[in-house]
Amino acid sequence: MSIDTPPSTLPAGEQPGLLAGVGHSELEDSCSAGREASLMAMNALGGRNPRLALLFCTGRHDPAALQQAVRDVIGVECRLIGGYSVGVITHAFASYDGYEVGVILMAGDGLSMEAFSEVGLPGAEQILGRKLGRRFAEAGVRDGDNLLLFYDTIFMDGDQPLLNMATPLLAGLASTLGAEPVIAGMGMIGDMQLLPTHQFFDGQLLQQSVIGLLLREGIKMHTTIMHGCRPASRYYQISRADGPLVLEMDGKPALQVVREMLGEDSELTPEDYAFFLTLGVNNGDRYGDYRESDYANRMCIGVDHERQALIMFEDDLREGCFVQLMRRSLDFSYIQPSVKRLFAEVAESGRSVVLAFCIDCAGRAAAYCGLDAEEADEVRQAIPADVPFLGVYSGVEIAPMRDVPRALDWTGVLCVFSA
Amino acid sequence: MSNEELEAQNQYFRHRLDELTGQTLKADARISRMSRELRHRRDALALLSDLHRRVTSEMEAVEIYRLLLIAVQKALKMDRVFLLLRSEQGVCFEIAAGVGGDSNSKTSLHIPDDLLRPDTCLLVTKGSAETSFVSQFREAMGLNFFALVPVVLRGEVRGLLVSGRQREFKPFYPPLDEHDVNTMAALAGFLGSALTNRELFYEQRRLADSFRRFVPQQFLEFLGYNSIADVEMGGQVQRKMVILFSDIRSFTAISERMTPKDNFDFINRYLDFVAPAVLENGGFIDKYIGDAIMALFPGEADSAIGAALGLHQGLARFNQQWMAAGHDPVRIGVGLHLGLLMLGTIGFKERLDTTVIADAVNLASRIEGLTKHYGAGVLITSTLRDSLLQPAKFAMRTVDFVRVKGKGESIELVEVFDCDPERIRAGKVGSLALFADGFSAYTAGRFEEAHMIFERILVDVPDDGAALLLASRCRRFRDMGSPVDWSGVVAMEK
Repeated sequence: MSIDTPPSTLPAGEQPGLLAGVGHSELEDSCSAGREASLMAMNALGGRNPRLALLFCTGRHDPAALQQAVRDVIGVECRLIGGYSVGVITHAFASYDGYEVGVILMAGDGLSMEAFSEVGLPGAEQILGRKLGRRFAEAGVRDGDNLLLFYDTIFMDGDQPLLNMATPLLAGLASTLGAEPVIAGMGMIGDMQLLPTHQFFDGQLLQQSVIGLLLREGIKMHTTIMHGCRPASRYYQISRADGPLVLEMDGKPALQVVREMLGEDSELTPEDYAFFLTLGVNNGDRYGDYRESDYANRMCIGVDHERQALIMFEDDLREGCFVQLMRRSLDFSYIQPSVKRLFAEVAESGRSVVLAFCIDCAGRAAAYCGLDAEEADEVRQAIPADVPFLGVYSGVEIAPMRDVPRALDWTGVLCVFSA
Repeated sequence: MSNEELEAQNQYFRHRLDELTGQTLKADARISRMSRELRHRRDALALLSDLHRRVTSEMEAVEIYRLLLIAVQKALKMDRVFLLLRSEQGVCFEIAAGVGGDSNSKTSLHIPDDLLRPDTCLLVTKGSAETSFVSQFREAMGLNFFALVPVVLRGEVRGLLVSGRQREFKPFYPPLDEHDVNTMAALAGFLGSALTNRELFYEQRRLADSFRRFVPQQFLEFLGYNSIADVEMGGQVQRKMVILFSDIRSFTAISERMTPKDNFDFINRYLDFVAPAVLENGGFIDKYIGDAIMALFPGEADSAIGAALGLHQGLARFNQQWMAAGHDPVRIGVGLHLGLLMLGTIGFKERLDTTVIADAVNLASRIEGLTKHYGAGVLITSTLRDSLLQPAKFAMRTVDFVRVKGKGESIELVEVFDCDPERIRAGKVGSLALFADGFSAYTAGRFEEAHMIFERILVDVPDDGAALLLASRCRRFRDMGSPVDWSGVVAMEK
């Protein structure tokens, strides 16, 4: 299969009845930033009124002021959805942890959408998933429709940040949807200190919410997953687990397994395992060739000394599950072929690209993972220059794996929308 | 191979693989840690380099603060960054600028003396001792963990750079450490240098402004110098300019009635009214000689005449106040000439001065001295008159041909009388043609005819100084005979 992108018959981002524009800003003042980013996106719409706005900003911004500034530009009729991200990726740069703002605007009669939100995530992920699923079922969701999910990743237990789980959220959603749309999305965070986040839903500023955006009729979402991890160990079987806690592997306390592997002389303490140790689940042939698309990664976010357990980002590593320790790839050469392959698939299907939207795990940013280069640079350089493109840095990524939506860690998900 | 051997081999490879996995993970962790440290240092250097490029001495202080604080916040991933500056009273520190928090807070903080040393920094992490100052500072700044470094200007702690985070979160936001403090100290050092440079820049500018009041900038520019600091002995340049001399008439008599202090007060007050006219008309004052002004005009000759008239306007305003205090009005004469000058520096290495050397200067001075003979406010040479771009703008008349002491050729003296009181000015304008007839008769040696004309003028304008002088001279030449070989030129020996 060729990985070169065949030319589309119309300029990218401008298909009959559908048009996308992207803007960004790094201004410190939230009003100015919202205005700058949304005006930039408006300019790309060539005078057409936007019907949908996706807005992302870092936790350094005043979300209410930003939301209002964007609203002032896009008008009251346009739907406004989004929330926090650690940074943005554009054609020109990848930037995070500052005052980044990104805006996607979509216009055109061909845009058919529904959007709903539910609030009260902590401990009720599955319940909210079910509620959201029912609302989309009532709205007539069908197989092959496209559903973008945005949810609040962080909730605070006193001063302690804890995580809302995407796996039960997706399970709840699947149980009531009554159809199998293509689902992608993100757990939203505004910084890597895991401070509280906000979500935008039309005129509301929400917290602890999940927002679903259904795009259908003529628009199609194509996705590819880019882990950047490869297996670095044999398989271990999880012999005891409790929610997000992996208590034992191969019959031994999980912390002991890791400690023995690293050796007694290791400089690494259990506190260093957070956001470093990654367990991968191979959903394909266990002893076949490595296939990136078969792996779901789970990152360790802490340790429970008392229970000698690893605390994982999601709660789906159950007893009996086989996992491998994953090693982060220092070589980004896998990225550009993946991106180009996705664009080639879109072109081969006879459809034209409207928008590229990338959801990239913030932990993969160079400043956080300790790499010299930004893998996001590889992504943005592989996106054709005439395609409206915005990327955001996330806490959790959601994308279909073997046609089943899964919560992922340490992953980049590229969504290409075609018409 | 037996089952036991296969199992042993399996175990062996499992252990070796586990060991390799451990080694790989440790190596990855080390690479990550080293990369973070390298990135930390690289970012700090890039930050300093960027600030160095962007911050200029002329930049407003608040803009320097803003650039620095934003840079610290982004490069060191801090939640909040503040610059505290010593209050005007010097006792407390107040927030001068901030990002990420309430920078408009009027919070005033007392900082312990032991933290106000140029080489003292404070690092507060989770494990730091909870002193009363730390508690107070945490609350005031809204920061749980912070570093505080001094901003030193000329050896004195004038401010504090504070930045920190609300949470520690490994590995992305590990506890602040000495690397953060070192980076902040480097940035605070940069800020101190930038602000010191700024202070020095403005001091230098003030100094240059002061020097400019002693040595005109234009003078330096003519010599090809940018500032007084560049001046070297022997620099010189030749230029054609208008030279203006003005002097108070009978100043000696005025000053004799004053104390030395009153003398200085009088001159300074008088100059305050008149001297700005020189600058307003594109000239510069070369020097004051007692109550006299010597000014140069490198531009159009018309502006020099404008300045001369401006001096008289300033004098009129001065006299309003001076006479209201019970004094007699002060009168001045202004003489102007256009000629070649040598501008240059003279002296020796320990005492330099700028000077103008030219016959034209002496001539202008002498012409100023002649104003009192003709009762003229402004006298110019015909050389200057002929170079005017718009001569019709000025009320002028030729009043004499003179040969001044030490000069071979004669000088045509032209009176500019726009500055005369309106009655006299109108009278002189009205008698311009008659005066010209009288002056022709006079130069032709027809003294009786000339005398009669000037006397007729004096009937209408009795205080026309030039007519008075020429009428008197014609009467004398008529009665006592004219000089031998009369050519219409008189010698002015005094």
